[in-house]
Parts: sequence; structure tokens; C-alpha cells
Amino acid sequence: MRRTAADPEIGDWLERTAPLALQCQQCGECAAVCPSQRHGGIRPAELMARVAAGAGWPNEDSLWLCARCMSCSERCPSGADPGEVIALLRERAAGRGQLPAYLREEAQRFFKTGLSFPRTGMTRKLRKELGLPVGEISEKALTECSEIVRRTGLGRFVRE
Amino acid sequence: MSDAFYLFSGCLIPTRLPFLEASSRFVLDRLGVAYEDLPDAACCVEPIGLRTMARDTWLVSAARMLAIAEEGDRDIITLCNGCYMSLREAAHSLEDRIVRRRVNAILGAIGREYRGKTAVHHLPGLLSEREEAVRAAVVRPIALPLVSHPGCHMLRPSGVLGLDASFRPEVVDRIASWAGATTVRAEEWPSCCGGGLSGIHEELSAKLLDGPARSHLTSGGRAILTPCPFCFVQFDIKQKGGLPVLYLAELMALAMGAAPERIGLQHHRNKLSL
Repeated sequence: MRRTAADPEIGDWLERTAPLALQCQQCGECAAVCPSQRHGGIRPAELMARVAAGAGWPNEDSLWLCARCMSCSERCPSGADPGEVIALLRERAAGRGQLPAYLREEAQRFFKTGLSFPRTGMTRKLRKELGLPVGEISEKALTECSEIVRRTGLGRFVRE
Repeated sequence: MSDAFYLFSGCLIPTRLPFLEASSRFVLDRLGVAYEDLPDAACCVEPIGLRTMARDTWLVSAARMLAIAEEGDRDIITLCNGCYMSLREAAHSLEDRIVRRRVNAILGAIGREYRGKTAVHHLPGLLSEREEAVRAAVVRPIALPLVSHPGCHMLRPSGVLGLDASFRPEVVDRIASWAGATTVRAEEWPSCCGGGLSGIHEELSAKLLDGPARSHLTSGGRAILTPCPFCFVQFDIKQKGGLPVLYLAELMALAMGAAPERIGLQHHRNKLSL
């Protein structure tokens, strides 16, 4: 990794949002344990080195190739928590409109229904067959969740 | 805190895999655990995608659920690795007083407050603490060789969850042994099933799944045993030509005398012969 003068925007982001990234010693342990990298997905060690050096923002598409298995953070000997740094970089990318369509739909579903997965006709049929409670999300829960979304970051991704 | 619990089933289990909920309720009933459904529950917030889009939405939403449990003076039982990690990580973050104040400022707008009094138990953790009761409830030992797959978010981040180790985890295996099963372990460090990439990048998700699917197939186990509904979906629906999968509560319910159709075992795509 070529060390260049830190991009001031990255420097500011590191200081305010992800100071733990600066603890990265570039040992490569995260790369060794990452199942996504093994199959051509995200490259956590390269990403950490690049960001911590302030060399440039990572490719925004690659950020969504992390399966969040947390192996990298578990194995990181420096407390740099690559998994959490990737999560924070995702949040930044999402704010710039760079996010998978699937997650935009999921955000909308959470806002409208209080759930990440849809209830379907099959849900109702199976629950009845198994003698389970209907299990609808209550009006109160829905009202409260929508209000939280409006007041927090996910509000950027939903339509009323 | 009272002896009774609130059951928090999450999203994926109640909507798409209600049979896993049926087996969990059967096991809790047989153990004489007092519980009712967490009132006004919603998504935990899903910790792979949604949490990484908006950390504050996740934290406040999870805190809301914890606050509801506090109002009822009960601890929470989770059935899903994702819900477990989500709520436990949130409770951990909320130990910071500044973070808690910020979260409570938003919760206040919906008439709630989080004070940090509720504990969150994952079903495997609850079972592992009740060996005597679990053993006593087993009426039909299931002497199957199984390959255990705890799933990432029952284990990691281990510093916060503290339920089992990332390297050579043993909680799922131990519980299975009380049901009469033998377990083999294909991997020292349980690998990711690729569930977190499902819907986002199907090709990469399938490649990740292929690793554990192949090693489980040659492990000597006749079925995969997991406490996680995301892993369950990967192995039961996405995996092609691999071993069938059992959810941990299904194994325990069968051992505790549940008729297979009563807990919906017929709804597995990859059928298991007992």
C-alpha cells in the first residue's frame, strides 16, 4: 500500500466516525479468515490499509460483499474491528445512494410493516396449521417503529 | 426480574419458518418455562443489512424492544442468531451513558425509556443452563449422528455475546448429546453459510454456502444441526445435494416426544429420515 497524504475528507471521517480503523497494524489476519475474500468478494485487509492511510475511499460496490460473519473482527489482534469499519463505510455509501436494491426494499418493508421479511398467505396458512398465534405486528408497534425510522438514519431510504 | 420470560421470535421464523417457532414453543412448554410473546414486538433490527445502513435506527429499535421487556419486568428469549446478536450488541452499546441518553431522547418521543435492566437469552443458552430439566424431559432419544453448525451470530462477537467460543464451540453439541444424538464437527472455526449475502449477491452467497455444505457432507453426520434460521434456510432451500438440516429446537422437541407433523417437520424441503 502506497502511503499518500491523507485525504482530508477521509481524515475527518476517521476521526469522527471510525477512529478504531486507525488501530489497524495491517497484519492481514482479517484477509486470512474472510470467507468472502476467499471467493473473490470483499478484501478487508486492503480496505483497512487504504482507509486508515487516508489513501482513498474503497469501492462502494465491494462493501456490500461482506456477509458480516464477524470473523475478521474476532481475529483482529489490534482492536481495529474491520467488520464494524466496513459497516460504518456501508452507512456512508448508503447515504450517497450506493446500496443494493434489495436493502432499499427491506428498509421500506421495515418502515411499512415493522418486519424485515414479508408475511404472506403461506405465513397465515402455516401458522394456523401449526396452532400458532396469528402473530400480526400491532398498530402500536408499527406506529412506534415508523416514528423511530423518521427520526433516525433509515428515514433517508423510505417513502411515506 | 420475574421468573417468566418474553419470547421474541423475530421476523424470519414467524413469517417464513413458523415450524421452527412451533418446535421452540413445544420445548419451552415441556421444560415448564413460563413465557408469553413480547408485546408490541417488531423486527430486531436485522443486523446484516439494515443495521449497516443506519446504526442509529438499529440501536433505537432494539432499545425499544428491551424497554418493553423492562416494563413487564422480564428477560427475553430469542430463537434466531440474528435477533440474539442484534439485541445483545444493542444492550452492550447502551451501557455507554452518553449513547443511552441519546437513544432515550428518541425513545422519549414514543413514550419509552431504556434503563438497562433486561437480559437477553438465546434459546441454546437457556437450554445449556438447564441440563437436568432438559435430560429429564427427553422421552425418545434421537440417536442420530449430526454435524453441528452453530452459525456466526451465536458465537461472534464472542466478547459481547459470551455464549460460546468462536474456536471449537461446544454448546450446541452438548445440548444435542442430552437428546441422545452424537455430534461430529467438520470445522474448528464454524464458517459462514453465506446467508448474509442472500438477496444481495446470490452467486457469492452460494459460493460461501458451498464450503460448509461440502465439509458437512463428508463429516459422517446424517444431518446438519443449527440453532439459526438463516443457516437453516441456506441449508434447507439454497443448498443442492447436501445433508438435510435440523433446527436445534426441532431435535429437542422430537426427543421430548413431539410428533414430527405436530412441529411441521414435513415443511422441510430436504427431507430427513429419522
